[in-house]
Amino acid sequence: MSSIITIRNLKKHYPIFGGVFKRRVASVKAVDGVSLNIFKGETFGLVGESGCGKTTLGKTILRLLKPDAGNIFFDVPESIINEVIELERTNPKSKRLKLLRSQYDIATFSGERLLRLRRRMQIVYQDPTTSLDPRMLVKDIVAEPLVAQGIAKGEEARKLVVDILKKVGLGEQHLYRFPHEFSGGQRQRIAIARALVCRPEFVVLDEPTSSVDVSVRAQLLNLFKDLQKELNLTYMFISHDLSIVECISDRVAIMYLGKINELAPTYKIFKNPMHPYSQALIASVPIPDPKKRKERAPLTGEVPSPVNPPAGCRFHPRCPLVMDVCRKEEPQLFEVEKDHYVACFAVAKR
Amino acid sequence: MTEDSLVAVKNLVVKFYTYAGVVEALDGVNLKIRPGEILGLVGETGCGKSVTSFSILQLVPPPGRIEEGEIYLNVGGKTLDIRSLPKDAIRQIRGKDIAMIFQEPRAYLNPVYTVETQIGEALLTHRKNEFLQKAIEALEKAGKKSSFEKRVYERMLKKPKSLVTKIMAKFCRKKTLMKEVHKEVVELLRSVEIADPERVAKMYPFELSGGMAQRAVIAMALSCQPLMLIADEPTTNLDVTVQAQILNLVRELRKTFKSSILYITHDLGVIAELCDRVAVMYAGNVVESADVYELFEAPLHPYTKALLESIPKPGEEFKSIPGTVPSLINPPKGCRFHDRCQYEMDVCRKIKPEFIEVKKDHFVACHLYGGSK
Repeated sequence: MSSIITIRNLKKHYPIFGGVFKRRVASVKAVDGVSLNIFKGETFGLVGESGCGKTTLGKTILRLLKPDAGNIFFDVPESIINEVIELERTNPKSKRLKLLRSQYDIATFSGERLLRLRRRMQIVYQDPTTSLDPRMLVKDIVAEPLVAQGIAKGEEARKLVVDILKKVGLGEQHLYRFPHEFSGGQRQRIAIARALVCRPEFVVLDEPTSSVDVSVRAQLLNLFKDLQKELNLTYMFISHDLSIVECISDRVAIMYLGKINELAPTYKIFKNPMHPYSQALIASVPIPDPKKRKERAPLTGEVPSPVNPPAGCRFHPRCPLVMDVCRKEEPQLFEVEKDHYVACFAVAKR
Repeated sequence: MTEDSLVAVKNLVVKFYTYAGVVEALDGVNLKIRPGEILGLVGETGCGKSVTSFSILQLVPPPGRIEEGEIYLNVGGKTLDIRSLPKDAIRQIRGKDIAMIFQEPRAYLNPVYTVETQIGEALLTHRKNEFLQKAIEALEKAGKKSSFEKRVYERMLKKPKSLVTKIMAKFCRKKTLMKEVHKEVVELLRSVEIADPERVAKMYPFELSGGMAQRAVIAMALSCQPLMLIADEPTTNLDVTVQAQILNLVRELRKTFKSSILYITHDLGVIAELCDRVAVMYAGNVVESADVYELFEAPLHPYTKALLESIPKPGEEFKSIPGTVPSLINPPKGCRFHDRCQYEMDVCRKIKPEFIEVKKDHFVACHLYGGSK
């Protein structure tokens, strides 16, 4: 399987300004050294509690935010990625590295090149009420990416818009309406149509179902699955609802305080979570079957602030398996089984 | 129906008179909550879950109005008809006999007062005499038998309404009383498993995380050991790990305080984990109510069935309910679910099904089960 997205050691820190001269006094380490691959045609689930950096990671991959460090490769041959990584390790100041990065690494892109890239990667936001302009007609909302990208205008654009609206379950009769005339589920469909109208290859779905009801949620999830098959899409599905992620993703990464703790195929991670945090997270999902009710010890304490994350493993103050080494050193992701990556010293010792 | 229940709601009709039209929010809701049980109330957004709970406390906000129906509360062997009670009497019930927890804790805490002040207010409203007594005892112990402070407290106990008492109370700093209240607040915060309650008591709501704020609100609700606790989606905005903590807490509290709990949520997982009985609401009606095991195993109403099927299961196609929730301004005639129902019959479009007992303790409102009788 070839990967469509490869990110290496990605960092995004939000500055906090303070003092008389409004200097940078600290930073919120929203994404702090994340590496992962997303394969072509898969649905990559990203889960974690609120404030762990899921959305920031998604936006940084799309370059809606500029990363502070790290590489992002989009549809780049593996040999070049390997060369860049090798050069960064051995000779970080070489001209060859600079050239390669400016050509292939999205983290360095700007202006025109970024615009062209955006045609191939899109995002659907959490709340369609705020992500759709209330003063624009549906036909303008959905046609906007076409116009901005210079793909189509006028009658031609209209055809493409109607085409994509039909694909998401709306129709021509909806063209001349405003977003407020639609229900929540329909609004999300408009947002999906807007994201897909210029036929991207990679779409970030940022909690797309958390603002709709249970019965509508299933409709949207089915729509995502159908569209993926039809348009050959790769999804990054960000959510805090583990039961949905379990059903829709092929692989899942669990994030905690800006780091990935565990990454594995869905069936493995839900059947046999290895990181203590993943175990606690998966165990705390309520199961809709009263017979499987169980008394369990939930995770104690609260998520620490990402401004001053704990030294060593970030989970150590709440971890039941904490050891001395956890307080000092930061664990790195390593492959426990095939395709199953965990960042934990306790698991490594086993 | 009223004998064995703590709260009984009969045939409740609530309407909201808006400019867009009359919203028929509740259309004959029947509900009963037995002492010591956790009743789950599930339904989608806008089906009237919250309006039901507001009605029980007579807190339906204008332009809403309770049109018909009866609400009974059984306290200490007496049956009170909440709708006919005067305002003062209802204020005595709110917070003391029936307390409420809301969805967004930070919106319901006053941002300019500390946690301690706010919980203390509830204590001083409903349990003032108890604390006055405690303060007098504390002063006696300290040897200040004839101090001004003690005389004020004694007057407040004996003649709380006299003008002289009020003036005297104004000039007294009531240090001992506040100390007693503080002790109780810290105790309450400890009982909801807040770490370092002394420090948290002095914090303002913005300093608390979502989970902590919800715990503080729960502590406030429990301050008077209510007979019934209404929890209106208390964990919807929280993360799953915090939700698990709060659910454990609610379970523990039920054991220690023996209160009944009306738990409102749209998450069937939470219902399965926590509740003893479930009532399912759809578009202003309770369509089914049963024991939790029974409901999950053998649901009767088509809406309940569809709702249970819409829970995502790995490896299966997602099942959804066709159509959308109807507008309550012009709700469908007859059974309000008929246009989304796969078992729709002629009678469903014309006559509203009655809420009848099909099996023991299993009520359903559907023509399929003889709801037209």
